[in-house]
Amino acid sequence: MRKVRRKFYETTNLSITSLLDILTIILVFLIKNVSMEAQKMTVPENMSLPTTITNQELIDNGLTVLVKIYPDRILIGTDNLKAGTLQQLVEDAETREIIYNYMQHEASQIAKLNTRKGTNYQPCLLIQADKQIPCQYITQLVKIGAGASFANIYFSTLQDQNWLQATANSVQ
Amino acid sequence: MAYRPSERRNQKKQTPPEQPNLVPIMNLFVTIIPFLLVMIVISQVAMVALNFSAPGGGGSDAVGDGAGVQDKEIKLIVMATEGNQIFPGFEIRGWEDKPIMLRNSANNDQYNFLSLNRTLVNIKRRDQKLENITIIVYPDVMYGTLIQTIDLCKQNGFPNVIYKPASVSYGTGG
Repeated sequence: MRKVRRKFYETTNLSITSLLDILTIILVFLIKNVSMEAQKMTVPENMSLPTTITNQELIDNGLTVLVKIYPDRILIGTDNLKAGTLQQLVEDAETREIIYNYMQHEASQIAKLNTRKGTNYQPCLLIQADKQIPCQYITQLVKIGAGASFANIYFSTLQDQNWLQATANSVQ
Repeated sequence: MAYRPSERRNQKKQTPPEQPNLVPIMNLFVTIIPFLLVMIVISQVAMVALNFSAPGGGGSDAVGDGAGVQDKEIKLIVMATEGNQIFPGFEIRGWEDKPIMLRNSANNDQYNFLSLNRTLVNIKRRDQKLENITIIVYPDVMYGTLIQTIDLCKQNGFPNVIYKPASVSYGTGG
């Protein structure tokens, strides 16, 4: 009896070399963009930033110290240390002192860095606040920042070229 | 060339060159790339700057001597509701003899940014040299409103924005 052998085709390997090339390029691009400095410029979670047409660049030699102001808490630094609440910022001198000491410490660290490396970095305060926060708290924080040697204060916003037109439409 | 049977057994088979195993690398990439993509922010984050290094205190947006003294001090007051007396709106002092009141007649709850924009354009058109503007803000004005007011000033040729909180209560008239 003759045996019938089924013919098996050899499976060809999927060439993933080109795919790997693309992924490598994307990976390098993403790693370059997602840096710690870029993290400071991103929109914090659960925060609604105001919209502006203006987009000003950070000064070339600026090193930022971040303050996030939520309706229920104030977070300072990239480590998001809780400094207190908005109410405490206005009413409690100790809370203001904590924030002031932190900012001054950061400013002095930048000054030490300049002395050590011969650079000319300027401390910049970057405030990220929810648009529904009353200005009195922002004012308080700006005062503390200015008192702690922060000459440059930046407010994080979302760029929207059409916000004025959108406002006009909503009114009509 | 013929081999002896014993030698023929030792001959290695000609096999195609093996490709490196890329599957672990692919696994790594497939994990990292979605993670990084999540961290990328799609919306364009911008910044509005205030500079406190210029002389004169308060806070000027000009670096060094950029915020020079100008003849007229334009004050833009951003008001908010306080009891029944103050309405959300803008008041510009220092430009004309009387303060210019800008309020939203259609909707009292909203600020009339369009009207403010028109007024700032007019002011700038009539006096090109003006660069400084002082924004005085009531404590209960929302941060978003303040930033958009600063934004309009900067957009209309007032790069030196001086930010001041309202320290005195608002009275009627000029």
